[in-house]
Amino acid sequence: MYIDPFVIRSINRSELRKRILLYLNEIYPSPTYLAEIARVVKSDPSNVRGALIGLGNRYNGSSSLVSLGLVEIVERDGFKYYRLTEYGKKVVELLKSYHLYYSRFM
Amino acid sequence: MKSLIRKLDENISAMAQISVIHLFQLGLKYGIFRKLSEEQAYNSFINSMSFGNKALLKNLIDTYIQLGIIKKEGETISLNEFEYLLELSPENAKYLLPGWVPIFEEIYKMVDYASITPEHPKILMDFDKDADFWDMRLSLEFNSIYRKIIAEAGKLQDEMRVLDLGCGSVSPLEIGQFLGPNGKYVGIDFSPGILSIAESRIKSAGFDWVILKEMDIRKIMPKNRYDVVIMSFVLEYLDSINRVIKTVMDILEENGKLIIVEPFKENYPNIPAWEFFESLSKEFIGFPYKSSILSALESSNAEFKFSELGKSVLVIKKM
Repeated sequence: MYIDPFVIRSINRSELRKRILLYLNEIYPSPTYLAEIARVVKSDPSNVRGALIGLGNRYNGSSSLVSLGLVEIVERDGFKYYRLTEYGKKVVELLKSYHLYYSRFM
Repeated sequence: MKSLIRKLDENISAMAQISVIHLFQLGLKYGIFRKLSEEQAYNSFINSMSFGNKALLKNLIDTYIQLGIIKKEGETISLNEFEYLLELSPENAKYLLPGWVPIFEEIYKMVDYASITPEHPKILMDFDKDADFWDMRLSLEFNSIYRKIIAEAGKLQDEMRVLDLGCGSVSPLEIGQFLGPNGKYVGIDFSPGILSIAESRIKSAGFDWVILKEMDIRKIMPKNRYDVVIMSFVLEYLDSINRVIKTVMDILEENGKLIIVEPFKENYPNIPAWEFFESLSKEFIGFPYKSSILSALESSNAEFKFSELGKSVLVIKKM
């Protein structure tokens, strides 16, 4: 499974996307709903929605966690839930390994 | 073990073979072959090409010459008659690993950026600045294969002392796991970035017998003695191997082993193609000849015996 190094670097620079991934990794393989993610990562649901699927100018769709293939949408009984993909799990593992290394550039 | 060695050799061979194809593609893409369908003076050809990084272009042309794609007569160059056979059979295909292909594709793409400037931010070949990309390379199954070969050839086990020169970010964990809790693994690398990634893995694994040191291996003067010294894919960054080989032979215990893993040049005829892409790393000098390692060993004055495991592993036993 190939992981684009520029994707990892981009996620690392975005605190909100990183926090979302870390939380979804914590509950993996369970999915959860948007409001719950927003509560845990202490952010506004609209920002979380933007990070997950893209929203206006702030988060363009092509760099959202879903379009990068890191998070998938699970639909159940008309509700949308979000779950880390296998690929997303690998990215989280690398982000954790690179935490010390990346902190040198912060 | 036989199957691991075959896997290592087949994949190295494929890496070199695929690199020839990508080199060929570069010649088409930059109009080099079209222009060289007629004889050109070497220097005026280099100056006439719209290729910002002239040093890279020269390296590319020299690689074509080494591979026989371009011929050089005196100061003129022109395209050769060239044909290339890509070998694939059901027998060797079962040893081929898919993981390294996208990493190599990433490196092939970097040539386009390097053709603009050697400092382009999309070139990820710096050991420190791009330690994350190097870690992805070093984490491939291909690299685990040769680490398994090293562990088996060195009969690595608890209580042994191992020195790993140019250890990278993954070997401290993968090699270190065999030596604890009473042995010792000392990993030396000159990249603080790579060592910081290794360090975080070692810490979470709790391997307190693993010690990492940031150092240039050309300048090492170890005081301790070791049962096994490892040099895997590191000699290509050294301008002279004699001093390092002598130092290693001095610090090996009697019956200790030096294990070297490299795509030895005499065993892989297409290796210049792969070397061209590796040269995007400014530290890269060239893959070693097995014969130069053996002559360095001879001049070290140490008594030794050596055995070859396939085409890419040398096991040297100090007598």
